[in-house]
Amino acid sequence: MTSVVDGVRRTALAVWRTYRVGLFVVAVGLVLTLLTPRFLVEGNLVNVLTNAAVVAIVGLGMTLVIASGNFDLSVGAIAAFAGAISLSVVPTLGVGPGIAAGLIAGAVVGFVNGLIVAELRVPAFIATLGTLTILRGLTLIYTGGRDIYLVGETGYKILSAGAMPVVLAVLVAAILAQVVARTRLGRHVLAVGSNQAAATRAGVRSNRILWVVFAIVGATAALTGMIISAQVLTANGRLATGLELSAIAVVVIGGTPLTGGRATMIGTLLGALLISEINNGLNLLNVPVFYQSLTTGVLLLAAVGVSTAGRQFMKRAILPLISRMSE
Amino acid sequence: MIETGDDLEMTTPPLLEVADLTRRFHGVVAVDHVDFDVRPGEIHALVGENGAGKSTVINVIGGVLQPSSGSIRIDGQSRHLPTPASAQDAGISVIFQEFNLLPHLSVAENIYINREPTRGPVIDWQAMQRGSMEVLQRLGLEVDPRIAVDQLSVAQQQLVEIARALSFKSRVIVMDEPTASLSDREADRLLEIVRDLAAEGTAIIYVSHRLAEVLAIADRVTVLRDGRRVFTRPREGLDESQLVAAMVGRELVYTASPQRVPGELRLRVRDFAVDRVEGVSFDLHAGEVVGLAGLMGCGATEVVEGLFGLRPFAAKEVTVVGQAIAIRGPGEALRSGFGYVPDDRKRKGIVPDLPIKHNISLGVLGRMRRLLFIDGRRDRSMAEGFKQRLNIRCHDIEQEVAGLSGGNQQKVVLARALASESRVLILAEPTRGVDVGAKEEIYSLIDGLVADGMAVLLQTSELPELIRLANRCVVMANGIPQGELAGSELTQEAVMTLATRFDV
Amino acid sequence: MTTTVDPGTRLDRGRLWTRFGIVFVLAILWVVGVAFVPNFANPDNLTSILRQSSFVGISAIGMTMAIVAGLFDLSVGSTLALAAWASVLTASATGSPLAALLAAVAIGMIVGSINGFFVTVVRIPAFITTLGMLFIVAGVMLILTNGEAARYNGPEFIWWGNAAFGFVPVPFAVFIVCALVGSAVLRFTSLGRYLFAIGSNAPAAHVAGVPINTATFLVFVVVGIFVGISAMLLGSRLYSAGPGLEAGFELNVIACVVLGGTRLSGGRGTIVGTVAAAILFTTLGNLLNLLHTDPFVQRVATGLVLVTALSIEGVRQRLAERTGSE
Repeated sequence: MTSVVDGVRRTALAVWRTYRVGLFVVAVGLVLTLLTPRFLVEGNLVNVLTNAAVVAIVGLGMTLVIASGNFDLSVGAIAAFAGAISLSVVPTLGVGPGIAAGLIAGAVVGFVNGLIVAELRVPAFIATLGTLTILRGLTLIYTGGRDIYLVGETGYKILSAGAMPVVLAVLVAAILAQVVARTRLGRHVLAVGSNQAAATRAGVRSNRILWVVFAIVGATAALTGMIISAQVLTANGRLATGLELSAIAVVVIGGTPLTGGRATMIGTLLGALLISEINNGLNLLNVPVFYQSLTTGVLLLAAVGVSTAGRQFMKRAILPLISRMSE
Repeated sequence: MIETGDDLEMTTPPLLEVADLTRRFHGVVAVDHVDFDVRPGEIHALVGENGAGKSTVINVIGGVLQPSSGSIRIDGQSRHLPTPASAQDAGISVIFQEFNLLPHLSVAENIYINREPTRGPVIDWQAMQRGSMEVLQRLGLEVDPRIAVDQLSVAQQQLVEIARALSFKSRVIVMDEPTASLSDREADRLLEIVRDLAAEGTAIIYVSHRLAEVLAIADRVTVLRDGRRVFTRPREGLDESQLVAAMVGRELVYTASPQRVPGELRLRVRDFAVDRVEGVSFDLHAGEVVGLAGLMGCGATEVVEGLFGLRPFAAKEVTVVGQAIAIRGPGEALRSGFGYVPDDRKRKGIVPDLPIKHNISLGVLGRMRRLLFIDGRRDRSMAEGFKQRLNIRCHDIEQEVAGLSGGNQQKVVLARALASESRVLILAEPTRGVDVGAKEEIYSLIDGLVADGMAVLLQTSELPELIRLANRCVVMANGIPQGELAGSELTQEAVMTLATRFDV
Repeated sequence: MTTTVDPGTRLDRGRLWTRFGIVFVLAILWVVGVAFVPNFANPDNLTSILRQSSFVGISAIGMTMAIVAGLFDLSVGSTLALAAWASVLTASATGSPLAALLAAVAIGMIVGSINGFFVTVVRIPAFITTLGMLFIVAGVMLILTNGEAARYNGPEFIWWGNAAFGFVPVPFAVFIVCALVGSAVLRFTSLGRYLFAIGSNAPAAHVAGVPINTATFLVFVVVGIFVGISAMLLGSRLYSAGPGLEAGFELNVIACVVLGGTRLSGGRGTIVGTVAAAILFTTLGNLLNLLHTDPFVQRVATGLVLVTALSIEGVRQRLAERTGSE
């Protein structure tokens, strides 16, 4: 019965799409283990995971944004802003409220992004470009262009201590994955990304969905920003410059399509892991730091290139061959 | 003066009324004080040319647009419908011509979008699965509700749309050109479903260009023209020519297949195969129109797209004026002497932001160059020439194509095809979505071109059009040519007979 | 035939605003500046504004052409830095500004070709391709330069970025020439026509016989050429170039294009608008400077201007939809 075969084929395809990055992670891991004994060491692996986690967290929020058919270029600015706010609150109110303040700040900025995109109909690319500029400026004003130090209050370090970033990343991934897979909100996000006009006509409150989506990515950006600040107990207006592009890169490498309608949180985690792993490997092999930017770019092109080239190859070479054979 | 057919069914009160509805766009009146109503269990057809106001009326009923004045009444009460959701709440479902589906989501999710059953914070997938299967069975659609909608055929997608309306338990369902993309068999099945729905008490507003269909299924018919209601009459006693006359303002009669005198051989095709089509062979001479026709999905579209380089094909012979040609893309097809008017002008035809003159010259810019730059004067004069010749109605040729009516846009696309001074003109569904008046104009234009010696390959699924224009026709079914008809043998019945062979 | 007496709508009013609205705003800004802000009308100051606008502006001309075709190039920032560095290096090696220019343009064209290759042959969407190249080119630059900037201040070389004809700075003159060339290409050549068609409706352009792959490849190369010109002038202006040059350049360039009235999704564009927007941004910065505004506040202001300008279009759209009237 063809429907069973179809069903199996579809599931197989879905699994492949989500986990194929994982194959690369494993492959690269094997290669590195062979190349240097310093890779497969507990301390090093924690390093890899932690670095991956930091980008992954904001990447997870970005996955949601991209699945809804939009972009958020302001995440780096939000990270810096939240870091600054958070570190300012901690001395007076303590670590807990400090972290909460950062998250709220991020969510609020995100919400404003959502408003601009949904209500004012400014394309997300440009809207968040504007917010990025405004927010960086505000942060610089707020910090007076200098660094904010957190002296003494090392309880804040809990954010970056040991494997905490990894735990947070996995937690955020689990939550968002469940939201996307099983809640109305999540399915509506995919609906908006799939065909916003149709979703709206069907009664979906697309505007509200967008507010929520941008607020979420704002919160994840804030979390990332705070973790980065916690690592050095410093915040300033130049923190996390370029974070937005790295976030987009891990989402794309992870397999979430830029066109919207589909999301894979696991893919994003694996994408972040892959980049972190490769950069770590380059470090261990004493390749100059400068090569890291290069590898992100090459990976990005390779990841997409392989899948598009693969599809093209299928279409142009394989399929006609099949149909000619069946004559 | 305006008939409403009320005398026959005075007893049942109307479910939905469109009361004195007026809607303006930028000062232009699209709908002008239109009244009509529909009763429970009634199938009420709405017909009119493109631009007559049907889409606007539907959009108002569906809560997508607001009236400039007038109102919608349900069960006698005036209802404000500011959003599509509010229309749904009021029991109205609209199935638009451009599907309202979410391609990446599953069938079940599309059916239940925005009303997904939940268990606590989480979606109740089982309930959704059960509910969808129920509704799908009613429609005879056998697909797994978990499949993503973009994996389905167009006909299946249509049924999913209807399934959604059904699951709403809507009291009024508006259908906009529901059979436009369906094969005849699928269309028949759809009409049965519509009748069943009406029998259950649902009111149906059926908008369609296919007058035969309308007369087969409607209880009452309302004709719109220029935004105004011409009449509302019960089906009994109505025939197509009356409807056409009301839609256009005059009577139209299609003559039998024209006689033409073919000249030199322009195109010879032998054993042409593309996708699942194979074995197509024919000759095309100057001064004649050869049709490639059949039911929807017969493969004629694939053939013309293949000839123009839009699909890879294989053939024993394709020669244009004696020269064998290899075509791998539209550019090469143009250079080989083909002109092409695609079947979907919105998606593949017009370039909306460019002015008319640029749309026309787009394919022949090579010829208009002086040194490095395009000669603006030649551009303009060529466009002016076509504007006259094809009677393109516009303010001037500097105007953007997006602002033209469907018929005039089609003429622009035709002008572009002619601009390349082709030896063979391929027309795919040349009057699809064009109103009756413009249709006639385009037919006359084609007559004129052919009389001047053009060789025309016509691909169409509209039989009256085929008979009107073609003097010979290759009829296809299921990707295989079934036979060739010429001259007096070329009748609608003969074509149908061949076209329905091998009907699986 | 009897149905539509109206032969179609004329979108004149909207078009006029798109094309010239930004020029209008720029004019007002200048008038305000001259009238109310001390030192604004100082010829040296005006010269400085025009000079400043040229570097982003020249690249924005190329970017306008890409966006008209519905394409993006995010790699222009990294390319600018690399090309500027190559330019300064060549100048210091040969002493010839011409060689420096050629080096910069060559870098731009190479990056553009690679972008074009990936987009047309491998078929990776432009956004991702250029994003990837952004990283790659930045990485290559770091490797080649070892993190150090190149410096050169030979008089013939620095003349280009720093001199002026009366009160028209040389870079600005180059900017205007580039704008004229860019405008001519868009409006009077086949390539320009093809770019508009591709951005407006790519499938229709394909059916009409437009050589989409060739045009796409070419526009990336063209973007690269303009970036190369900007790079040489910038290197000349600063007497140096190194990694981290003009961070955020690509976003500034895109902001200019969009603020100037070119539609982000393609099909509509204006070089005049881009030029005006580039001058507008630098004028704004200059005015705020003269008013002793915190440089950080300037950033906020620039961002606000961008968002506000674009919101106006969105709000207008919504209002029209609601009431169905103008």
